[in-house]
Amino acid sequence: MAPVETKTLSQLRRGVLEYCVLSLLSGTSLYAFDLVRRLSEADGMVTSEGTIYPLLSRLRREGWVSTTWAESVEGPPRRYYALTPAGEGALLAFTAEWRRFRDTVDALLPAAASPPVHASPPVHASSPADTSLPEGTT
Amino acid sequence: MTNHTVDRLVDDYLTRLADAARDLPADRRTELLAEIREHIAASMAGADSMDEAAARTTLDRLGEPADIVAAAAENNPPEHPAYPLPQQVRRPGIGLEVGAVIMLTVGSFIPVIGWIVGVILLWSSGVWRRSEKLMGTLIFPGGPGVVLTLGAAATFMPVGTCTSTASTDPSGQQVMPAAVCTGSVLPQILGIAVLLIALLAPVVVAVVLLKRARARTAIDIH
Repeated sequence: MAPVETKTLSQLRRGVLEYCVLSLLSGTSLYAFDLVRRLSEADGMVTSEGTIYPLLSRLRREGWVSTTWAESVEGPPRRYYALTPAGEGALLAFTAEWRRFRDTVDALLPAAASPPVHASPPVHASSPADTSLPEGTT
Repeated sequence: MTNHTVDRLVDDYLTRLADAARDLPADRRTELLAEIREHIAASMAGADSMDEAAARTTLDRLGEPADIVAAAAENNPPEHPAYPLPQQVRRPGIGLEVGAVIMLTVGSFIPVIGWIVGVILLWSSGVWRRSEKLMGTLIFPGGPGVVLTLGAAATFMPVGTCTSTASTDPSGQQVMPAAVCTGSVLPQILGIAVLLIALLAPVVVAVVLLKRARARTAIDIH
């Protein structure tokens, strides 16, 4: 069973991933492979590159991105992704919402330096060597 | 030798992916496989094509086929009801239905065969209800082609042919006796009016059938 933290994070990630895709395509079109690589190189966004393709497919069906084929010098033609006007609108709307949401959550969460009120999860307790936790830093 | 190993690694991976994806809709499955294949090719184009380690890294980064298919299943229904879909959504084909309607109307001018082909297509489609298929078949047997030929003959024939036409005409029975007898008893104008209705009815039926086919296939998307 996954700890709550991991589950929450993966849900958050799943929710914002498509807007990260839209954002990468903002103002430029990208070769599918490069788009996927950039996402997977962003820290903590994607665990397996293959799972991005179904997302791209959905965004295309929703009309938020469009694809074009371009001849390539070496090898088969390449599929390029670009933002549609509808996708641009969705990105702008989300960006505004996200800033608001982030500020609200930041204001509600305890400041980064102070440790949480309830004890850290048992996962950490089982590894006594791992003492570089915030407890020692105050 | 090493190249062979790389090919086998990639083939194995794609086979596992195709297996895992067998429950996806056919077009989604084809598309997914094509994109993953393209991704592997692009990734390997950067590296030495003989490089087994590069191939393994590429496949590792792609992830487990089962995870990819799970993501595909998850992304299948549209998740943004707040943003209405633009009409770019592709309908499932209604080629069979369009073919059936064309053969039942225009195609019926190809003697006998045209209309029969239309009926076969009509009944082999899964989109229409039985009652609609009956309607398509019975209005009118033989289609406008036969109606027009027989009707024109009957309308402009002398009075005496009324009974003979009605009895010798096996396929047009439903319509023709009325058209023939009206034409022979009343002025020809009336006969022509009946003939026009007999021609228009199949066209109306065709339009209704097509509209329903379109509506039903459109609903199936969501």
